[in-house]
Amino acid sequence: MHPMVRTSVSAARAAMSAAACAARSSKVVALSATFAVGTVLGLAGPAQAQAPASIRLGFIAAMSGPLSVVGAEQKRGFDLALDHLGGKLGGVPFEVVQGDSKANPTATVQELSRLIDKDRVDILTGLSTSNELVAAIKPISDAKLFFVGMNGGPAVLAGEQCSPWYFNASFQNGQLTAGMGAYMSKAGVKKLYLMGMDYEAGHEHTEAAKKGFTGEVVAHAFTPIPQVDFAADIARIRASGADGVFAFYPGAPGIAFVRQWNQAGLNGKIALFSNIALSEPTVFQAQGKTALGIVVSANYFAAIDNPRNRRFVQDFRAKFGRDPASYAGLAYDSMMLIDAAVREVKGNIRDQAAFRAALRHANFESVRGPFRFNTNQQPIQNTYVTQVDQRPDGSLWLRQVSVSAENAPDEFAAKCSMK
Amino acid sequence: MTGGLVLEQAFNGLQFGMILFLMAVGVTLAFGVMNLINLAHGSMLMLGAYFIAAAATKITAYPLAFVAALMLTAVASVLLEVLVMRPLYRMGHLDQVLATFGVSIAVNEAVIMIWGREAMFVAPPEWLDGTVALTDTISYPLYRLAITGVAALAGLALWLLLARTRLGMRIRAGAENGDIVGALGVNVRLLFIGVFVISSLLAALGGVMLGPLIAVQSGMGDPLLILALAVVVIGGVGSLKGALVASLAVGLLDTFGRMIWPHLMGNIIGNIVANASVYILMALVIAVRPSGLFGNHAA
Repeated sequence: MHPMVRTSVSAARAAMSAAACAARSSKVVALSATFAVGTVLGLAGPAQAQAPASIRLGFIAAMSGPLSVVGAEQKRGFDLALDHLGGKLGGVPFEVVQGDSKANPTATVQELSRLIDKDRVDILTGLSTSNELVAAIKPISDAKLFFVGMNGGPAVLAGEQCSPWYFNASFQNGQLTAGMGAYMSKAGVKKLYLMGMDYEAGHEHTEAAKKGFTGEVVAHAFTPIPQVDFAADIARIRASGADGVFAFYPGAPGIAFVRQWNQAGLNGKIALFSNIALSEPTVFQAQGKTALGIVVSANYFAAIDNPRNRRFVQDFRAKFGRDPASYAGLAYDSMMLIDAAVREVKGNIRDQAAFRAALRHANFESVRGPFRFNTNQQPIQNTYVTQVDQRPDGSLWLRQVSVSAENAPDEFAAKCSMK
Repeated sequence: MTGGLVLEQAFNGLQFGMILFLMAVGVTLAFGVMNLINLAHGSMLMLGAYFIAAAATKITAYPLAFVAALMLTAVASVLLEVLVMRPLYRMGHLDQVLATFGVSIAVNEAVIMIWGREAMFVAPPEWLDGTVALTDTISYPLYRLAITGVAALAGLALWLLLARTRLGMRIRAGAENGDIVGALGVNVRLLFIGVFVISSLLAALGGVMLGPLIAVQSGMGDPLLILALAVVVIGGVGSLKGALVASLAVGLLDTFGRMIWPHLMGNIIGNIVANASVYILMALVIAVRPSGLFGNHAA
């Protein structure tokens, strides 16, 4: 060996492990871009005299990292909302400051402090994952800023640690999956294998899937977030004798799981259930026909029939060439919620008590249909069972199978001190 | 735990190990010959997967798309060697780590700009899309067996190249003492390009084969690179034999660990131990043999 090689082996090893750590924690990609959105016509009516001339809205989502697909889809829904709002938020000109949460709690807190302290945003919205939310709500509440959550809802934030500054416009995790247990029993599943990604959402969704299930739970397994090869887990599933699997895998791991599930020949032999994270329009292209027949619970899917959603889906298809995923629908709703609340206080968002009351009213037309806030500021909404189906042209879509619950709250509201 | 399950998991572990080997051998080769720590190696795996996805949309015959993907990777790796890597060979390892980490970020962003952020679809060739019966009750995906086979062939080809050809002799000589080899009239520059391309092709081969199994998207090679670095440390930096032994050990340990630890210690602790097992092994190996299983003892 080269003498230099010999002497530097230990240095190399140190460098390698340091680099490995760096590579894992996050990609240091500065995707955060600041951009202003049309501040045309600054005509403020007399009623808006005390309102700020312009609102700074902070939008933070996982634009890089393992779940950047989620953030990118939220951005599409957000952008379509901007188009529909025509440059004004509740009648007030506004600008958007963007942040990248990277599906990483540490990065989330850093980006939030930049948005809050440096960019001085007035309202915050976004976030993509439950682990980000758990880290984010305290600093946001400390800064006394209102935050409208676009995706995910960990139990602790709906219960003990609920915050008057946090409005969850998406779903409480358990709420999204509740109803699947009963559905799986009805579908004839006797032995259920539960598995999911090893973080808050994975724990909560798989736990919620147990509720109402009357058969035997043969396993409850978790896999690390970056894992994408499930051969060993699929072998365990087969050996367990399960006749049904509930698997929570959003993003890239979900694509891998579904494809490997098919390759292992389990399609049609063991029934596969999940919530909408596993199979939805952002992953349809990559999953292809392997996704056909998967049953997922949902609070939003493109085929929900109401006038507001028809317009949203039509414009989304025109702009992006496919159905919107729930991430886009919920992001769009979040913007419409903020728009309605700003309008209700006539732009005077500095009156925080009035603005909070306006947000609580949720006086907007949701693409989901009925929507209102519970006392813990989590949604009361319908949930559905849907199935991946195929259109005559071969494209995939989510077909409604049944309604799991109508106007259902989450189960943690009683633990929240807000009344 | 039945015999059939153990057999199936052994196949899984072997396949995972062989993919790790394809990654690790490139890392160890680049280090042994050029003294280069290459954190952009995961990008080569990713490029292989993207190239087969892109090629498959244009070329229907899978073998042709396969060759096209590897040729595109070869071109990309030559460009990378000439434009970025060459000046790094004589620099310190910290510079190399920073520069190649930067390359990996740039390549990750480049594929997003070209192909978008959402994962690409790659179909396995139809003639490999079935299952093979291992026992009466357990069938195994043919495609996964093919991966193991192709990776083993690639390893064998590499060994023949290094042990039996003039180029291989020069590569080995270059690893011993590059300056003398240069003084003897061998074109060291060309030799280094050759080694870099071979390293990249092995990683890309892994990516091409993983394409139909996992999500083809930006950054897909990075988690595997981390494991490959662990493999290289366990096997001994610069050692090909070490890379093979450690890859298979890590592949089998990881696969069986996921089954055994939760069984023994319950779900929560078992999962934690299973996730950490590779790194526990790495720590143990470093404690006993600081230069790795087959590393040079003078280190």
